[in-house]
Amino acid sequence: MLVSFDRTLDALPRLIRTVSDFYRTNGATEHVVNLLSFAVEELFTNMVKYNPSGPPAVQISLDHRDGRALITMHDEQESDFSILDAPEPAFDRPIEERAPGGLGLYLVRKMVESVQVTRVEKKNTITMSHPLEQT
Amino acid sequence: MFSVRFGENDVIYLTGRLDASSAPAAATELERISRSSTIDMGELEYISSAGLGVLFAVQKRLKGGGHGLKLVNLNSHIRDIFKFARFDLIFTIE
Repeated sequence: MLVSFDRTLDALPRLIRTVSDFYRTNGATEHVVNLLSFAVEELFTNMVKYNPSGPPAVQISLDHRDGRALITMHDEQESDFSILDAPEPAFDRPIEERAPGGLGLYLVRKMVESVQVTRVEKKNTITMSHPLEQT
Repeated sequence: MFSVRFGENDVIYLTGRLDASSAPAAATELERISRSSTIDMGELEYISSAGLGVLFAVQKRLKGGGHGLKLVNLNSHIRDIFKFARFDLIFTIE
């Protein structure tokens, strides 16, 4: 299923509902539904905040195969920044020395079993894969 | 939908989804917390990194004054996120 979402945080409720409904009806445990919703929200929010001049809509492909959720998110951006290169939060620093933020991409990389990024010219494709029935 | 309710005995109840769209309103509401308090998350269905950032900022502010937050009644999804985010090192969680 290929869906487009306007590049605005106002699209979040429909985005999360679409992801949740799709995977809930395709065999995902509630744990995985929450995890995938979380991951898609984090990546989409990143696209909205840090690539505001990108195309008006972000395209997301939702699929499943061999017991695994497969989600692909497409975006165009000038910068060659990859979510895989985002620095790890400063866990070793005391709270007084840390700034809020920086957790989203880290958590996606940690919690989703497979996250891959490819870039062809200015087009970024993020592909996530995770077992549907993890508890 | 997300909401914040200030109850008795410095207990604050969060309800709904604390995500990127509700985080700004949550931050404004939680600015009212001025001393050690308990955040009851029993009715909080979901949290994203934006929500984590809101709670982190409150905790950082309170810690600066010798206070802190205790978080209670986290569901399993939120507890997982807190574990991966190592928020169990920053907050008292029951």
